[in-house]
Amino acid sequence: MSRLIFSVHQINEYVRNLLNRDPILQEIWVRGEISNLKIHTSGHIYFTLKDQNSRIRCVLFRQYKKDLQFLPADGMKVLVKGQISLYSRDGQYQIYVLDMEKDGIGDLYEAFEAMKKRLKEEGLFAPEHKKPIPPYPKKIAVITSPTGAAVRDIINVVHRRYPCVDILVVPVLVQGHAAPKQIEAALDYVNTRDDIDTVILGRGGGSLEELWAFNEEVVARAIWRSKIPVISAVGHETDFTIADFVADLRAPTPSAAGELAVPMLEHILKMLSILNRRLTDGMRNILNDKRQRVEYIRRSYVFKYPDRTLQQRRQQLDQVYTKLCTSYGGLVEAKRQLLSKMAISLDALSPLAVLGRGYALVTHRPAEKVISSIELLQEGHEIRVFFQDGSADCSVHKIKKENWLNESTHR
Amino acid sequence: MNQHTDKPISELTFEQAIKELEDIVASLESNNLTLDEALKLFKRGISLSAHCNVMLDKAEGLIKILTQEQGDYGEIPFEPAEGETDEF
Repeated sequence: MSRLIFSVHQINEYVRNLLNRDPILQEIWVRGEISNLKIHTSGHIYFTLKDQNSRIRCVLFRQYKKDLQFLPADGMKVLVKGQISLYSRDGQYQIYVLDMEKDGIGDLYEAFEAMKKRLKEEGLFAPEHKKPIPPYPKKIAVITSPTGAAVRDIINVVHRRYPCVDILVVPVLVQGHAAPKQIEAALDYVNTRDDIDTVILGRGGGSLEELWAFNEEVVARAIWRSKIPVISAVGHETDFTIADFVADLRAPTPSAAGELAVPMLEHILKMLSILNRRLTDGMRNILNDKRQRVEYIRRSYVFKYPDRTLQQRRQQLDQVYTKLCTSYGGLVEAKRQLLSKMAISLDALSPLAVLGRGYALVTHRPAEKVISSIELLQEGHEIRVFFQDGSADCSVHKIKKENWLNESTHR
Repeated sequence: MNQHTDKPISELTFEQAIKELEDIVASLESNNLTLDEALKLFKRGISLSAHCNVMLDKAEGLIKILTQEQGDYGEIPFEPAEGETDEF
């Protein structure tokens, strides 16, 4: 019976080809815990993925390392994506890892979304429930880890902006199983005091699991029932936790929480000095106003120069009197002139003056009506003729019409 | 408007004092007060302003940490560690 004999290399290569031809093994996801992790000087990472019963060798080449969301370490529960093949030198099959993610993240996201939805429907995020942050707090409670960077950032920012505020650090664990209960207890505790104006609840950045305490329902409900306004400051700007949604105000970072919790002292001092100015200006204006009203009355001419007023009146009286006298004199003179003028005219027109020059005036008799035309006369009419120094009664004998006036103009 | 003028100024919080000061300034500016009223408000405003300044000028606020021993709470001065931290 002839035997078919292979070399070790041949058989390893044969198995490797078998594995490489299997479509399922070309890209699979495997769940397990990392152990025996070694980072080679070449930059490749070697580790074993294990579960309760089994283990499998894994290699992650350097070029895939940069795509990882985290640095793998022993004890981490992960999902690895890769191709299964055989390392022919050792005759050992292994996973050539292409990508890796932390196990349970998906579950956490799901739990997060489910709780967010539930609490939202219950009204824990309602804007109308949110309390205003006191603008000028006297004492702030900071619920966080006493050893982290967060507590230091908050204290620094708060005291730089507003040195006069008191700060009470309420130390809690901010991650791990005990954290949610401690945070809840801390929130309930500060609410038993009456000297705390504002609570800052937070921690620095971390992974989703590290921030998880702030997604726990007990924490959410403790924030909800807090009578003191709560500012949440969990992780970085991109991290959103349930606590952020329930809190009265969400700060993107712990430092930002410090800024939101207290005003700038210099702004308040400026505001105060403006108020002071307005106060004194307002009072000054009122005083000026009242004073002006008094002055207005006091300064009126009568009050200021009573003598002068009298003198002025007297002077005015004098002037009027003079004027009256002048105009009266003028009036008399004018009348006098008019009169003499009229007397002259009258004199010229007087029939007596005409009679003096040899003319006579003829009237009817007995009615003494002047006769200036023969048309008014008939023969036999009784007439009276007036002379300079007497009159003569006559009778008309004969009437003869003459045209003296025309003739004299023709001559 | 001047509903809180009876309260002693020393009992007012900063917020109340500022609010009242703002009210007083507003009524002084409206200028329809008698001289007596105006002077009374002005005096009150000056005291309020001084009170606010005193509160702000207060020595640097205290930083304390809550301690707990067998259910008894206490407070001791707190100085946050500089430099090395465990980053949370």
